[in-house]
Amino acid sequence: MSWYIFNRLWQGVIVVLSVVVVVFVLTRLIGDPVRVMLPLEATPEQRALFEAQLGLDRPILEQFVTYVRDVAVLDFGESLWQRRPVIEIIAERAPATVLLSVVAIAFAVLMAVPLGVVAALRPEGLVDRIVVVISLLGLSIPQFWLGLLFIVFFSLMLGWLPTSGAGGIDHLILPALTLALPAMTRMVMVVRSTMIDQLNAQYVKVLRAKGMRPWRVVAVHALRNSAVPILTIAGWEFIRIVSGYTVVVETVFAWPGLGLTAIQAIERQDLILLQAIVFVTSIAVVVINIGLDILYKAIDPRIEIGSQ
Amino acid sequence: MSLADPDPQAAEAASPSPEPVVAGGYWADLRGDTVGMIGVVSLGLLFLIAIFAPLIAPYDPAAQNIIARLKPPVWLPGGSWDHILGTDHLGRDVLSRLLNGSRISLFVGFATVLLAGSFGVMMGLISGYAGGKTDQFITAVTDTQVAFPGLLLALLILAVIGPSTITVIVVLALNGWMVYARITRSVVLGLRQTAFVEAAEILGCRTHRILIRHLLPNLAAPLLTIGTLEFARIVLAEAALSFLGLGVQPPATSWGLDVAQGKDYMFRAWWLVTFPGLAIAFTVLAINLVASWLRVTTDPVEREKRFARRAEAGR
Amino acid sequence: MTEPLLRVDALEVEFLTRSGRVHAVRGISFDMAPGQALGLVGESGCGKSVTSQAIMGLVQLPGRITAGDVRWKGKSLIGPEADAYRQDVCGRDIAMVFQDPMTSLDPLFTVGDQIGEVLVRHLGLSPAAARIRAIELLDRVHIREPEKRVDQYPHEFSGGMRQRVLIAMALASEPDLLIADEPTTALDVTVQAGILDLLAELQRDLSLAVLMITHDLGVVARLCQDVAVMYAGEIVEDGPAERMLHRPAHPYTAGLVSATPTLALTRHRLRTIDGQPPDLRRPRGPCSFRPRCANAVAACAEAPALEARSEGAGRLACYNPIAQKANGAIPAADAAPRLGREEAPLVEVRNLSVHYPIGRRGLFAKREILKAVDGVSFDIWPGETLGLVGESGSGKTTTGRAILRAVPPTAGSIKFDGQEITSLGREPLRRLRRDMQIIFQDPYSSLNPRMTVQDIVAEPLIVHGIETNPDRLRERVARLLELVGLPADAAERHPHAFSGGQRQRVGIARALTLEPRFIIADEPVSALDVSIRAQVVNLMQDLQAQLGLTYLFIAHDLAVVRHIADRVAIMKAGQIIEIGPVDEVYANPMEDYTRALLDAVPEIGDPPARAAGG
Repeated sequence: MSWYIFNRLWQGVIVVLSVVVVVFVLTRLIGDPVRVMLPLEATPEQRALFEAQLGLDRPILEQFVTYVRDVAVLDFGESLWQRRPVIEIIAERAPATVLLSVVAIAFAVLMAVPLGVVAALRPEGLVDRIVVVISLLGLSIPQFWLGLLFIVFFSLMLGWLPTSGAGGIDHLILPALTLALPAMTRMVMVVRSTMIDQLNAQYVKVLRAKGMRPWRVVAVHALRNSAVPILTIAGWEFIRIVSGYTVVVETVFAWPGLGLTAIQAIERQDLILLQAIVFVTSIAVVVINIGLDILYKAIDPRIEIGSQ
Repeated sequence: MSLADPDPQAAEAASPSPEPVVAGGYWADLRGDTVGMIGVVSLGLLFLIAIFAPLIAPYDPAAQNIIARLKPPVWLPGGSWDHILGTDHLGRDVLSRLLNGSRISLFVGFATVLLAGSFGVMMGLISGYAGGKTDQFITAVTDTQVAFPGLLLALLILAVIGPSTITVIVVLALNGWMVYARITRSVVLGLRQTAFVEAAEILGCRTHRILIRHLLPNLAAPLLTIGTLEFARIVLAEAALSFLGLGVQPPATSWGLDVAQGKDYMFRAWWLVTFPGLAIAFTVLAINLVASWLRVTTDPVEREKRFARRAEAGR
Repeated sequence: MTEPLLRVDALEVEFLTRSGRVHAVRGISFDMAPGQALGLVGESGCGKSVTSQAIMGLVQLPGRITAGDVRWKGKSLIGPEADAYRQDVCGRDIAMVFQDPMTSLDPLFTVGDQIGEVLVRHLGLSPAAARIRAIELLDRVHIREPEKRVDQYPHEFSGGMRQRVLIAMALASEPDLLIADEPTTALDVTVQAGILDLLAELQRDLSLAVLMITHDLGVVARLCQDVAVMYAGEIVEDGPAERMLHRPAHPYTAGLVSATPTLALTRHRLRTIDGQPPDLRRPRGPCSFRPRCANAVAACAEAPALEARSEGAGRLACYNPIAQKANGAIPAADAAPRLGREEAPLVEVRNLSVHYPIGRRGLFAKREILKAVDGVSFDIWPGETLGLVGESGSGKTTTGRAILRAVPPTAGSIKFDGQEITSLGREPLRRLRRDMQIIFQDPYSSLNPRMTVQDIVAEPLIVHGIETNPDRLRERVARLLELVGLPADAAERHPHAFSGGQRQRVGIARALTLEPRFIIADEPVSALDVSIRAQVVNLMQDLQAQLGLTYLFIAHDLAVVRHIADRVAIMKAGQIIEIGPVDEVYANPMEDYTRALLDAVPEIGDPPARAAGG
């Protein structure tokens, strides 16, 4: 195993551990889980019982050790809301979120890369200006509102697609588009500016002087040199989708994934479920990051040396 | 210096006075940039509206009027000049709510940028200038936090502490300071390599003087641009949190909250969702226009490039 | 008359910038014959690089060719109707090598792939055949183990090796003309010598025509039979190298020749060309050299045409050429090196070492240590100049920084005026700064772009609490600016308003503000053009005489050091391998490395195309 990969794995472990600590501190030290989770009218006896059930009456250090031990074996306890193990709920809901996120990011990348490259070929030209205007608009529209507009337009007015819920591919299209479009507009700007920089680089001038065909200069050399920044932004957007935007979009479309579950958990004051979702998502983020780091290394032969 | 210019020295020698970072001040530059001007004027207008909202709004945004429920805007049948943009399900005036909603959006955006910005810049300055173990530690913290599932963690915090305007600001700032730290650190690291900072050290400048007199002025431009971009992002984030019911709480008004409340009446009263959404989009667009203008304006290389591209495209 | 190989005919190129149209190339014409090596010489901004790019069809917006023609074997390469022909010729019949080998290769492809794609494109070879040919080409440019190197990536090559790869790449298509745009400027002097020898060898063996674009007359002398000198977008004089370098007729050519320092002469004033190059945004009018010309006459109000000389080969654009060869140099008043040892040394360095830890290579590997400076000892006496010479990575800059305590020494002792300074605390160190200052290499990055010259020069006084009264500060800055030859109104302007040479004067003024006794000059003139370089070197010598300064002059340029230093120390791999009076070291170097360095310096006095003989 190379130093580089080891280093990245180690960073991932640190992130997961930090999330564990932060979640613990948040839920046990800053917040009062009993107050959050039990109704206001609960009696002192009920509260004491609940505390004992969760082990909240133990010394804080012991609580932490128990907590870490449980988390390590993915034992998050039982959901208050559904009265069954949290891990079951997560296993049930996660695939929907994974499907939605992967489709969304794939769509965004497939749109953003060609658009960005074409725009970069002639900066300030007609295509470029259109791309820049579209991405400015895309950057400015609130995602939840975009989703609602889609529902009104495609579902109610045109009647092409279902308004919400899960089912066949037709249920997937609108939420995936809602997730993909803002990500796409941000990515397009990065693809564009990276490609512009690469096309102005000295080695491109040398390639032109060598008499290389223009398509080869763009598609083989400049694009490959842009791959690392493009992957970085794509990974970044993927992470944002997985760890945040799905919450909003799943809520708008009632898509039964982890994001919607998180909101439902909050509504039902089920901290146990919520913190498990946060934890599982952070592992997903770490895995995505490590995957990206491995990809970087495959693309760029210099990376082993670049990372100390 | 890759100015698509085959001989950078040619341009250098040709213009012994390349421009200062912003020639003739921002205002002069703005006059030549229609799009940037639209952004700045719109944003200025929004700030004015936010400040004077209680004076210009025709109604109290929270005042309910059961008789005038779900009135359409004035240009639709059934609409009247009493409620130009109609009323919501509780008979509250949509226009008044919009005008007042700008206060929350801009306040949260401004406060968060200020909070996250000052903390992040401080961290970045320390990290970039001190180097060594301090730098490693701050960088590790930044990297770790960047890899956190930001919004979900924010939800957890809001669920534990309970949502309010202040919590929203704190949560968003906690989630956003890393950008400033990273930018500041990278600029400072770049500047540290430059001879003029080394010169200041060798002249005998003390650390605080180097940071404040020699480094900070050179950071102003990139930070201004990032701060503006973040401002736009925060306005969107506040709207999203309020939409989810985890941000600003009633009776306070927020555009995101209005969209959420109007959602249930989306099919009967489209204006309840449409206008606040448009307001958010318009605000964020104005901020983004300002940001993209700032980005080009504060970077002489970028300006020269843009000029060249426009010349090329116009040919 | 038969068509030449290449004909550049009244070529004009301009650039569109925010501050106006820059007429970079103003109607230049020249021919090249097969196998000819022509040097196109000039200072930065004269249009020499743009000319080469115009030939290759590489001028991109905001630049464009506005008039004139480039003809290859009689057919035009300019304009949309010549697109097909140009795509055929450029890259195949005409190949090009650029200045910066570090960024000229695509970092993500092996060098074999990058050479191979030329072969596939222009010679129609299969990828397998291309790889075999790429190995041959690497061998041709003297890269060892070409079978192994062919599959390596650019970052695994040093700068000199990359330039060889780029030359191999240029040769791949078997061109008739090789354009080399400052191919050795970014390289160390010994590496440069190797590349120049290689180019000379290739030119001879392959009867390749070479168009050498350079600012360095020494490079031209080594490689070229013919020379054309450019100034402000025009050719002012051309002809055989022998004549151009030894009997120049145009005052600018003569100025360039005499401003170029040589290894042969010690401690004298260089001739300078006063003033600054013209603003290329102005249209053509009077002779563009007139404001800087000592020979100017009334007729110069109208630009002279480039016409065949009255006697001998070549062309000249001047109404009042120089009749005789100008003297290379004016002997300075104090030509004798000052080696007086009656006083104690001002600076005593003993066994100085600076080591850096560098990254681990593997998980369990030990941290490696870079010995940037490794046990260096020397003295500097008051009033003298010690030249510290070495190639990149030799540790010369780190040595200077360590003496200033800008980097912490790992071991050894540094005494300044008898006081040990390696152990000084923060406050005594700050007081020491008043006695020791530095002049930097890069006049662009060494001045804070956000401060006015007044603020920059006054900063040391404020920092040390010496003067805070604004009026008196202004007065002192004004005196300093006058001392370094800047106009009084310079104080209120920002650095961007000045040219490179002027900025370096600001840098010198800043170093002098605290009235130090000792100044470390770290490559103070290597970023400057020849004519400006001479001005700054002379200024430094004047200031030394006037203020009794002591210099540590760090440089890679042996010729400049010879002009300013009393003694010279040669550094290699963190150690001083030779130290002594300049005359002795240059005349009788004790070390092979010193001799190799001296031999590697290309000089105007070198016999033309010397390398071609061996």
